[in-house]
Amino acid sequence: MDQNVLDSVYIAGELVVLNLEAVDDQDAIDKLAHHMYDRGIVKESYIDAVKEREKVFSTGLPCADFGVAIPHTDIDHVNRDAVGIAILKNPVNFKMMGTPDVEIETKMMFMLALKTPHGQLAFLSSLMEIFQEEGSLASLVNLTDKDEIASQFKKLLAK
Amino acid sequence: MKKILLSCGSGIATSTVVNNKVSKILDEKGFKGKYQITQCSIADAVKKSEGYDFVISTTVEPAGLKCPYVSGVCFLTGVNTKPSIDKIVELMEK
Repeated sequence: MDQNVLDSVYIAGELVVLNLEAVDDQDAIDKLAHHMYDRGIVKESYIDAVKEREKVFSTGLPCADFGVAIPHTDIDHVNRDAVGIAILKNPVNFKMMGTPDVEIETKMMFMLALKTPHGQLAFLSSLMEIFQEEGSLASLVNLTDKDEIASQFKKLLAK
Repeated sequence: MKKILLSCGSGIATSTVVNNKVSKILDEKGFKGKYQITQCSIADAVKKSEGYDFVISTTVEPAGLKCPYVSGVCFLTGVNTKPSIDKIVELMEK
């Protein structure tokens, strides 16, 4: 993947939340969405929009290492292409994408703030590669420094 | 020429990835130039479905769809892709 792709999506330690405590999927989304709103990445309307969208189109994905969720919503609510990352203190259940009667025990959330329709193919494809490759998510989840997580995530994306 | 709709909740994120994967698979299976993919939200897919051969979606099969449905979530996770690939090939050969 070329450098431009990494440049086009903002990934940084300030968008990483460690030990996120949440009672359920909605609570987890609410907390990470507020974190992104506080940093100007998304509009205030994103917070409710992403929570509502999760109820209709769930985003839990069973991955090679463990379950993750990729909450996201329409481009109108986004100021800047970015990804917020949360490592959950205790896993919460998300409903599986496309199969909402299956619960996915989720350890990490990658909250997508996408501003360009169909514009982040290379980034999204690389993200799915990370999900599919054994050991990739595992290399992120035990890191304890936000900047380290952001840089390791970028390394994985650029692979 | 088969007309394929590719949809997800909003038509911006997961359908983009699945579109790319499915195009590669179709080309590998010898269908290059024999299909046309349109990406949209699942709400639009229901409205448009009458004029299309099939829909691949990362959402559950919506009510009111007027063409066959194929689940596309497996193309994101890489897990258990065979049933969806088989169904797509079958629909392409129809």
